[in-house]
Amino acid sequence: MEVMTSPVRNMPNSKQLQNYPDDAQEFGYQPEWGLYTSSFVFRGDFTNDLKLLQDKYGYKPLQVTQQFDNQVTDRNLGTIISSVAFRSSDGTVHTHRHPGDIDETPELFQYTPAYYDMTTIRNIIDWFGDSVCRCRIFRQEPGKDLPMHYDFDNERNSFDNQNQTLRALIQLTPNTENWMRFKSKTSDITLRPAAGQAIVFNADWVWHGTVNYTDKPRDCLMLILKDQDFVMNLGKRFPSHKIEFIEV
Amino acid sequence: MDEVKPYKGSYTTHRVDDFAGGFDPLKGFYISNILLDAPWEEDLNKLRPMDLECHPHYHQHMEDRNFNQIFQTLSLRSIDGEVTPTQPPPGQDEDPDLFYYTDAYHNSPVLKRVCDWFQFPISRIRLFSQQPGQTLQFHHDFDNERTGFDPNNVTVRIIMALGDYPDAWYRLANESVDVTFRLARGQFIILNTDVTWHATVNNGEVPRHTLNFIGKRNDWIENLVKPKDILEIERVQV
Repeated sequence: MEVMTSPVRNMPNSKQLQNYPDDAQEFGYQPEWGLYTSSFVFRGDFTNDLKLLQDKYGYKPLQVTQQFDNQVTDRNLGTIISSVAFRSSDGTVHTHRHPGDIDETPELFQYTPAYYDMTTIRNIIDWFGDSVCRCRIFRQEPGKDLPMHYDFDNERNSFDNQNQTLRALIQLTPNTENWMRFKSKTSDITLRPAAGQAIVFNADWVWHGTVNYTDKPRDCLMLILKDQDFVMNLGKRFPSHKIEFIEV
Repeated sequence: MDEVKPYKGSYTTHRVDDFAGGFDPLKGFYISNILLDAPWEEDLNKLRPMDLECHPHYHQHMEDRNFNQIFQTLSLRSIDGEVTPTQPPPGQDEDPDLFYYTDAYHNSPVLKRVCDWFQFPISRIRLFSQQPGQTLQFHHDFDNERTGFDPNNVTVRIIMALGDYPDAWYRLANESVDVTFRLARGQFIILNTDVTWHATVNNGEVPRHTLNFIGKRNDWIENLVKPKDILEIERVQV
């Protein structure tokens, strides 16, 4: 019997055995329009670090440049998100904004005292290497929802698809009822990420929203990354469907 | 960006209607923001899943994946109306008119309500029980190969979790998305399994039960996946 080969990237047909990932070299995460949620999970006790952030530095409402005031008002961000920074444009914990209307690059930012105080969270930040730009705790207040939206990181680099600015989110608090939804060009994904699991996406193109149905803050580590090859290779570095734990 | 509505920059505000992407049944998948709920455990406990009987054309894939060691299955809708899980032969479309509900469907009142909630033309419905400690390697299936990949006759699968299994994971990969995740009880995936590489892991100590539907894309599915501005987890009692 003749069978047709799939029109999508020449996938093997039913007469051929399949061998992943060799048969799927052109598959997997693409930074511009894609979404990556990791098959690896950072495993560590984040409790002491999070308590120290609260007690020593405190959280302040998310701060943006004046250009984005309309977005803050439209999404009511001031009541939904608060933050404390590990890496910021002036090296202080309560500067969250980007320094201007220029491309976001790692050399524009400095580690804050909060970064140096961390014992486990710092190991995650360091794992991502030299491409980390801004880095902070994204705290979603209890019961607060962030509607579906996109951001403007790549507007500042004229959407250069060889120089993309990507966001990584890693939830640090146990996830009972924290949900995220992502809408890419081909897929629509609602999930409850595991604590320690990494999510990476281009926040200009991939629509995203989040709900916190619990009575506790949802604390996520958010990193803005500038090395798209590093991120594209995560799927190849961790090709197995089995879950791998990275102790931090 | 030809398939996408014009980008609205930072000097404007935007709403979800400004975006034209999302679930593409020819290329991608949908992981639901809907969670179905009903007390189906009593029905589930009465069912006795078994080995899948595979058409000889697909034997090599069954053996390659070690399927019957990983899964036990049982049909609620099948090509012969029997609970024994079987497959249509290669070349035969998953035409819903050719399939029949089985005794397992008729004798499972709560699961029947769940099946009936899905308002798309359904060919097969099976209970899949992934055994503890078993993993299914990355693979894709051949539902649409049988129709020559006709874009006007797209076969999709829906996989719905019948429990919360904290150690059971799925990984799906297509041309741009690579996601590893766990389904919540009553949450479901809609996917084109010809074009989405998929794998599952059950690291837990109990079987991971899912209802697996095969059927045809229709307007009900198109409407189901439309997002709203506000992200809501919709809990639906059936």
